[in-house]
Amino acid sequence: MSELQLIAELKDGNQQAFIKLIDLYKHLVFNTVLNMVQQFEEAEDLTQEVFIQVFQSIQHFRGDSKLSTWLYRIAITKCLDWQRKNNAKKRMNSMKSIFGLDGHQDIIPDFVHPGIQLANKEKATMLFKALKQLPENQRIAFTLIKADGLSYEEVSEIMQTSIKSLEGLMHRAKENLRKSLEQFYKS
Amino acid sequence: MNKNINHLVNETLDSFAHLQKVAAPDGLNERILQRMNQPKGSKEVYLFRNAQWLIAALVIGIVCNVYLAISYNNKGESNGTETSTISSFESHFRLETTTNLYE
Repeated sequence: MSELQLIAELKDGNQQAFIKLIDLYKHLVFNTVLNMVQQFEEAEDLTQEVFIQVFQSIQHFRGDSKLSTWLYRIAITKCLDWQRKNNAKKRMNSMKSIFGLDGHQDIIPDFVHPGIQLANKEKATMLFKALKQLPENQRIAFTLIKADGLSYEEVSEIMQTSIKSLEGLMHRAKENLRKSLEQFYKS
Repeated sequence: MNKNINHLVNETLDSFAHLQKVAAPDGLNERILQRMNQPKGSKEVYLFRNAQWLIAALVIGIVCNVYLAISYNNKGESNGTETSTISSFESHFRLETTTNLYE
């Protein structure tokens, strides 16, 4: 089944086509979300939300880009929404703890990616930790290019930006990561 | 020392180079379909959730009104005149208007 056929059947509300879509793209979406949120359970939950969103808004998909590009965009948006909610929750919890209310802070262990080679385990864990401190756009660019292995062309289409500005983003991301890693290794 | 740190940083920055893809969890398809077919909350529940803000705003409004009314009433009493809430309001504003007229 071609992509156009699949899209047409999805727009017709065919559930079999939807199952086919999940089978085709679940690993791609799950890996992207996992690299972004760095938590296994949350990544599964968000992957589910991505596909539900796809099902709900397939009628609005114009087909200007590839289906995978559209899926990446939805996945990234979901991750950013999750991150913002999470940050707001953390702020609320720290406010509660200041006022002596039950505002316990969740301690999240360092993320160890299951697909990492043993020799690189410590360094990759460190890099994931440093990534959390980057501004949103730099984090998305670095994660999609370095962790998901996408090309600059693909990422520029997903992020709806030019390759030139994507290169700038990557340069700044590397500089910022270098600074925080240097600080860590010096201490 | 710095050379050593630079080397470590470079190695860390390249540590995603051989990152392998992870398989999505088993049973993901079923869980997505299950969530999709779940009935949404009833319209009444949705309306109540939105209405509760309106109710809260109304309650705050009423409390503020009562507080203002009591404070004006007390002001009237402290001046030696026992007036009702409305009349204390009226006298307050009448007094102001009258003074403005004579100015």
